[in-house]
Amino acid sequence: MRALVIDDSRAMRTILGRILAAQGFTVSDAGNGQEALDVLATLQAEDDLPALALVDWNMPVMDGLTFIKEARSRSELSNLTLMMVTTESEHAQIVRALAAGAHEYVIKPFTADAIADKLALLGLNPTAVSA
Amino acid sequence: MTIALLGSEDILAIAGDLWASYLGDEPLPSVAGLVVPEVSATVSVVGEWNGLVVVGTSVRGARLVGSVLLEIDEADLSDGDVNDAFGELVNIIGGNVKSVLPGPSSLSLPLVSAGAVTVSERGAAIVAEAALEWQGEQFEITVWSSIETKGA
Repeated sequence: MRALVIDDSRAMRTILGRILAAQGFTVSDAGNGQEALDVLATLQAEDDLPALALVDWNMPVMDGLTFIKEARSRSELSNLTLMMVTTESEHAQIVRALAAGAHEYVIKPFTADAIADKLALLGLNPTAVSA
Repeated sequence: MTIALLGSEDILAIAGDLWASYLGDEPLPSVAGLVVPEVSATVSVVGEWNGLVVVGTSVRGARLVGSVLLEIDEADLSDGDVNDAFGELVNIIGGNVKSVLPGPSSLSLPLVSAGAVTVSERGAAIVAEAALEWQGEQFEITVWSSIETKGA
């Protein structure tokens, strides 16, 4: 099962990639929303679209909220589970993200266990799928 | 809510969570102003509350952060690696600081620069600061309010 990490910080992509790999995901990454759309187009051509995208909010070029709206408008990404992972913690921001199509919301800093718990709630368990 | 609700203990709690989540060893509380930062990372808060969150440390402190977050030996880190990791550090601290200040507001992308950062804008003031020690290096966290801030 593939996951896509979208964050402008390489450090954060490393942290999230490590957590997802430990959960059994094959991880791709992108530095902003536009780059993520490009990666998704490539993966679609390879018939290897991810099941999950972890999306930062504040990024240059295309921010996470715009990416989520764009992803939700594309039928080929209808099975993509979207988890916002961000420092934005105001209630109104969380509501905006969920209304735009995010399935889950995680506030930085997070622990590996917190991410694992969210994945379990979403029913995303690569180990179980491959077993 | 007023900015008086943000104190050094809040900043230390935010930093403690961050260090525990990503950097392993718990930092120790220290005394602000002990050293002049060699590297500073900043994010701006713009909206109902306006100001700047600054984290300053030594070059080695910033490189240690980069080494742990990116899982790269210090000797192999590029300046870009260090800026990325240290910038993410202030991004997370700034986002959490913003959450306890009056909103709505937005956070800028982080900026990393050499030396200390002092806000010289007329009317700007430090509203909270804290310092911690990690791996023998001092990290100073300062929250500045802008004159534009409502209710400051």
